Amino acid sequence: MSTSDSRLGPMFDDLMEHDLARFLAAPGSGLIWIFLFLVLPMTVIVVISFATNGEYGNVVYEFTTANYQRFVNGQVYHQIIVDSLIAGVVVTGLALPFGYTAGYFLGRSKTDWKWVLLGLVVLQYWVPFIIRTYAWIIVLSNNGLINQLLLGLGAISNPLDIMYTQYSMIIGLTVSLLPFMILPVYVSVSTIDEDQIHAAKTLGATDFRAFREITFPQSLPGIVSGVLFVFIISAGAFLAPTLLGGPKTRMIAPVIETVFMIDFNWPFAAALSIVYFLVIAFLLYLFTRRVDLEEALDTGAV
Amino acid sequence: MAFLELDALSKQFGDLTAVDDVSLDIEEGSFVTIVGPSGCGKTTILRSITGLETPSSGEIRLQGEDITELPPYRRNIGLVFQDYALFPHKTVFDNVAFGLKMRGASEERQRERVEEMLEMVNLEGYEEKYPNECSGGEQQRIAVARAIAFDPDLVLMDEPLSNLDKNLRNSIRTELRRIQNETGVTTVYVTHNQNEALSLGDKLAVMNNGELEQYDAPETVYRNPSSPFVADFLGRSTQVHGTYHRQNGTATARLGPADSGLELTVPPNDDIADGDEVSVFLRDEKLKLHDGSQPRDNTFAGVIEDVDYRGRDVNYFIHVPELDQTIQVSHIPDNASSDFLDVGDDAQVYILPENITCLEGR
Repeated sequence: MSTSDSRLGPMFDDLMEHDLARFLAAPGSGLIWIFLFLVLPMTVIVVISFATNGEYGNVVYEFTTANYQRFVNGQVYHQIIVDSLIAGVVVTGLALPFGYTAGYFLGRSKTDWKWVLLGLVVLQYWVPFIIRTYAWIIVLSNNGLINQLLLGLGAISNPLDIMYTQYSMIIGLTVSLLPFMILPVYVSVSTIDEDQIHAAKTLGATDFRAFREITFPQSLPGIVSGVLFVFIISAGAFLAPTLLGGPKTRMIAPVIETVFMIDFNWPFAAALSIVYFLVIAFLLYLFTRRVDLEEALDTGAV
Repeated sequence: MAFLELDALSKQFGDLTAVDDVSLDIEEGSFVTIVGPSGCGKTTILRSITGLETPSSGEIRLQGEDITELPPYRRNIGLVFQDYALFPHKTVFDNVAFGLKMRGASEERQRERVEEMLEMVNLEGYEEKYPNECSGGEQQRIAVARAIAFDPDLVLMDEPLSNLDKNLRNSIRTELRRIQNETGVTTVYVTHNQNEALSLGDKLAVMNNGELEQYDAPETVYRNPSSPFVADFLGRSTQVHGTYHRQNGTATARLGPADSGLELTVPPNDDIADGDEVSVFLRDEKLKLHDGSQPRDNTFAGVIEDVDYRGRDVNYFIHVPELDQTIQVSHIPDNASSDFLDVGDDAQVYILPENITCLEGR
C-alpha cells in the first residue's frame, strides 16, 4: 500500500506540473464558473431583449429594438427605476449610521460577549427571508405590536397606517440588511491595531480626533462594501415590496416579475432587466470613482 | 525636585501586582533605561507615565505637577511603540506631523519641523512614502521622529529595537544615543536586553516582579549589584552558595558542600555578619585561566567539561570538584600562545577578590 501511495504522489505531482492541468485548476475552473453562471445567462437575456414578443407569449427570434423603444417612451418605467433607486438610497442612508455604530462597537469591544453579539447579528439569516418578512406584518399592521403598544400607552388614538406603505417596506429592508453593513464595518474596524489609537492619543489627539484621524479613515473600505451591498440588494428587492409594500409602492424587481409572469412579455422584461443592470453598473462606476477620488484627495491634502 | 518623579507607584490587574511600590527620580535631559525580564512591570510603568494606564496608587509628577490622572492627550509625552504603531493610511509626512497638527501648528511650521526630524533620522525625501513602503529599520526611525517632532517634555521608548535584526539593532542603538544627545530630550527607555540597558542609559533601573531592584549608573549596577537578581540578570555569572567569615579585616567565603570545599577571599562587607549564609557570584569574564607561572590568590582547579568557541572568546565549562559545581569561564585566546584547552583537560582558575560579588542570603 505504501508503494502505491508513494507512486501516486509523484504521478499526481507530475500531472499538476503540466501547464494545461495548472491552467484548468487555477484560473480555468474559475473562468468556467464565471462563464456558465454569469456570462451565459446575461447573454441569453441580452439576446431575448432584442427579440420580438410572439402572439401567445412565446419569444420570436426576429431582431427588433422595439422593447428598448418602449422603455424610452414609457415614462412610468423611468419613474419606477427612479423610485427603486430612491428606496435603495433611503435604506442605505438608514442602515449606515445604525450599522456603523454597531460594527464599530463590535470591532473595538474586548468583551467575551462580542462573539454572542456577532452570532445574534448573523442569527436572523437562519430564518428564511420570507418568514422574517411576514414577521414584520405582525409587528407593523394596524392591530400589530407597535400600534397596540402606542394605543395602550395612549400616545395615539387611531392606529398608524404603517403596514402596506413605503414605510413598512423601508423598515423591513433596513433591518434585514443591517448585517450587510455591520459585518464589513466590524471587519475593517477590528483590524486596526489598538496601539495606533494609543499612539494618536499620546501625540495629543482627543478620543474624537483619534477616531476621526485614525479609526474612521481606515474603516472606509468597510463602509464602501457595506453601502454597495445594502444599496444593490435594497434597490433590487423583490419580497419586501411585494409583501410589505402597498399599492403605491413600485419597485423594479416586482414590475419585471409581472411583465415576465403575468404579461408573458419576455423580450420586454429582458430589456427592462438590461436597462436596470446598466443603470446600476453606471452608478457603481460613479460611486467607486468618487471613493477613489476621495482617497486621492485625502492623502494629497495637508 | 527631579524632573520626573514616580512616587510609590503601584498597579494591580485583578489579583496580579504588575508594579509594586516603585519610586524613581529622573533628571531633566537624562537617558534612563529600565531593564527587566518580560512581565516585570516595566511596560506598565511606561504606560502609566503616558496616561494609557492609570496606576492603582501612587503619584506621577512631571516638573512638580501631578499628572497621574491627566488623559494622554493633555500630557506632552512622546511614546515609541514596540511595533511602532505608525498610521498605515497616512504618509510619512502626516505621521511625523501628527503631534504638531493636533497642537494646531501651522502648515509651514509642520513642514519645517518634519523636514528637520527626517533629516535627523536620516530619512530625507521620505515625506510622501507610506509606512508599508519602508523597511523595519526605517519604520522604527519614523516612529522616533514622530515621538520627538512635537517637542515633548519627555520621550518614552518601549522596546523599540526588539523587532529588528542584530546589525540594525546596533546601528540604530548608536543613532538613538546620538539623537538623544542632539535633542537633549529626557528619555526613558524600556528593554529586556541587557546590552541595550548597559550601553544606552546614563542611569539604569533594574526591575523584577514589579519591584525596583536597583537604580544607579550602569557601571555601578554592573560592578556592585545590590541583589542576587541583579547580579544574575546582568552579565553571565556562576552563583555559588557558602558562608561568610571575617577575620582581622579579611573576609572569606567558604563555598561548596558542607562549606568545606573552597575558601575564597571576598571584598569585606559590614552588612554581613560572621557565619551568615551568602551567595557568591563569579562573573565569567572575571574568572581567569591560571597558567601557574606566578602564584595567585583565590585559585582553584577543575576539569573542562565543555567548550563553546565563540570567536572573540571561548566559553569553558569547568567542573570544580571542591564546589561540586560547573562554573563558566570566558577566555579571550591569544594567537601568540597556544592556550586552547579541550574537553577533559585540567584547568586552573583564579579570580581577584575585588571582582567577586558576595551577597547575603541564598
